[in-house]
Amino acid sequence: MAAENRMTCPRCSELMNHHADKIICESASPEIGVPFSGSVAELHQCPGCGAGVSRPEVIGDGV
Amino acid sequence: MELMRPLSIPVILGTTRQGRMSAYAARLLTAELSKQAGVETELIDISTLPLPTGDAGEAIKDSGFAAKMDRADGLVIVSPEYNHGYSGLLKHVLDSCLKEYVHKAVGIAGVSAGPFGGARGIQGLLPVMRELGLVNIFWDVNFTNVQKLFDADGKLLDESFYRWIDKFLKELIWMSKTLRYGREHIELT
Repeated sequence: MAAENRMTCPRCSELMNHHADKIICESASPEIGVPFSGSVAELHQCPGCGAGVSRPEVIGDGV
Repeated sequence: MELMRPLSIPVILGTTRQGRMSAYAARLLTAELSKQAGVETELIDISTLPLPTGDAGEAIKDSGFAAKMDRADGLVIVSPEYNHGYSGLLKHVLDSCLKEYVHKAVGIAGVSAGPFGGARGIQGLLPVMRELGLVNIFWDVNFTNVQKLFDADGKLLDESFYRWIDKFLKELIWMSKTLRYGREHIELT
């Protein structure tokens, strides 16, 4: 992930670490031609205070 | 690795049955965890959580439980075995969160009246843990023949279990520390 896409911690304002992408199976209906049904969430964790935040996957450096 | 913040490792008591002997196991593990340096713990009894059955998954998320899972660095799940499986209500509660679990360690303690100590229930839980994003450790605790293992006051009668529990907790703490470092510092590439 490009550095400019790093999230800022909502609790302490430190830059967060993007540590996982997780399929959220319940969040979308199946689509034909898509290998899974659901969406992908990015998971970010703050090294300062430990807060965890998620957001929908940012594709193509957020463009 | 020194940690500025204590590790949070709650213990989930995974049954609501009346007369549940698993409560003794959960209290014991909570007490043993609380003795560990740099660890904060609490007992989460699923019988105290709101458990609506008209829906499931994140639709029934309880904000208090979700906040505890979000804060957790690792989990102990105390899982009684019923008819060779884990408790349905435990699954109902676990399914109410998802993002909160990712890249966190989990250790499972099985409880049963028989000689296998909930091993079959644990085996059933392992793939569930994986899909939730939790990372299984390779130690379990198996509370075998549980009616004979604790007295009426919940005192553990077999001292040899303490060594087993210690191994289980040390591995869980190591994994919780390591995964916390990874979540906070190692970027997904």
